[in-house]
Amino acid sequence: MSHPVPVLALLLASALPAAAARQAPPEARVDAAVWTAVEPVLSAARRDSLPIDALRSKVFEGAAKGVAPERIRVVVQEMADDFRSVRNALRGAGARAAGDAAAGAPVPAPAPAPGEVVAAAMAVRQGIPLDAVLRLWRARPDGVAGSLEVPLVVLTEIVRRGVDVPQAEALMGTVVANRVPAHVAAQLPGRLDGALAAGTPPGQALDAAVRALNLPRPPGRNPGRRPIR
Amino acid sequence: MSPARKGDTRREEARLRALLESVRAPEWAPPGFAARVMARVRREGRPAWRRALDWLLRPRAVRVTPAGALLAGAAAALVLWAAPWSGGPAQPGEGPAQAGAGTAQVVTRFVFVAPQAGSVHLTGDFVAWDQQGVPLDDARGNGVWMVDLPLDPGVYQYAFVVDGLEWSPDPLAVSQVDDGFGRQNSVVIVTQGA
Repeated sequence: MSHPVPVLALLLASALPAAAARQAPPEARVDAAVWTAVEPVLSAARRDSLPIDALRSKVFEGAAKGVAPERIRVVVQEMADDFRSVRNALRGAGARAAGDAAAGAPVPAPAPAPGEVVAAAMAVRQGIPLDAVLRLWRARPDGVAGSLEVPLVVLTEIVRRGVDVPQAEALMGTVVANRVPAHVAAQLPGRLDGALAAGTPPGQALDAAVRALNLPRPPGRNPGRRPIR
Repeated sequence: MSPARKGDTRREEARLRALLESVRAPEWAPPGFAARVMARVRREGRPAWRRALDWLLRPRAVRVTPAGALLAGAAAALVLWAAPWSGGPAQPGEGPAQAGAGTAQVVTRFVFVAPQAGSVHLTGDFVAWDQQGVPLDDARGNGVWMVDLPLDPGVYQYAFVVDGLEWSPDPLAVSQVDDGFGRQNSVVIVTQGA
């Protein structure tokens, strides 16, 4: 090669448009019509400190799936409404719990993290009563700021698999209060699937999963047989 | 050699000898001539940037072997791929922030069985739902597509895109949820210490 520099420059110049396309921000993949439709919803959500990333993600998802702008707006609006409702409820529950702990003294309530608001809204949308979500929120030990995102998702998944809400709520409340690590709690749905596949009724399947993971039992429940070590 | 030819040769030799003498004679120049020429060269010399520009703009024939062109292309592609501004394949974290950002990432395996597929891509909220998200690899050619992806701890929704067109949830996922648009998304819970 006599003059590699001009050849390299030519190749680089030809490759730059492809590189520029790849580094385009995700906003560039969304039509202007979609942004026009959703911008008022996003602006209101931003002003209200709602989990804006989750709402924007739904916009990206809708655009990627070729959904009409108006439909995307409706879905994002519903999500924002759910977030607002659940976030306010969590804030209220947190304030009451903190106030109780300090014997009436005004204590700043722990603010729910965006992931917790999203998970709580998803739980409610999938049929978990809001009161059950709030009780789980209050079950956190004082001074512990661990995320409830995973416990909320696990609660939803357990109920979706047929376990009744009180039993699932009692178990997850115990899991949260005893600070069971998230990676252990996250195994519950999979363990439950194994027992359900063997024909075990959901309630008993949950007990089997609890034993298998050696989780603490909710008060009042039969501890059952210890797992073989 | 004939006398006439001999005469021609002598004349030619004399002419060449005279020419040589004139070439060998020292050139004369007036006193200070060399100094004046060099001063003028320095005064009128082009700046470095101009010489560089001329070098860049001067057309020249380039000879490239096919192997050389391939090497140069590979080098250019490597530079573009490795450059921080080039992006490369979509990476987790480009999309919306997730809970757990700032903590150690957890390598998460995604598997999708599609024997007839020509390509499978993983997309989800961890790559802002980019359809070209993360390509899965059918390394054994048996239709089992796989990718290991480092993710921050959190809960993510995702789907697979088969052959760039068909959206499919993950049958192996812990959960499927309604995406609000008439399809299903899969859910993955990423935790540390698993």
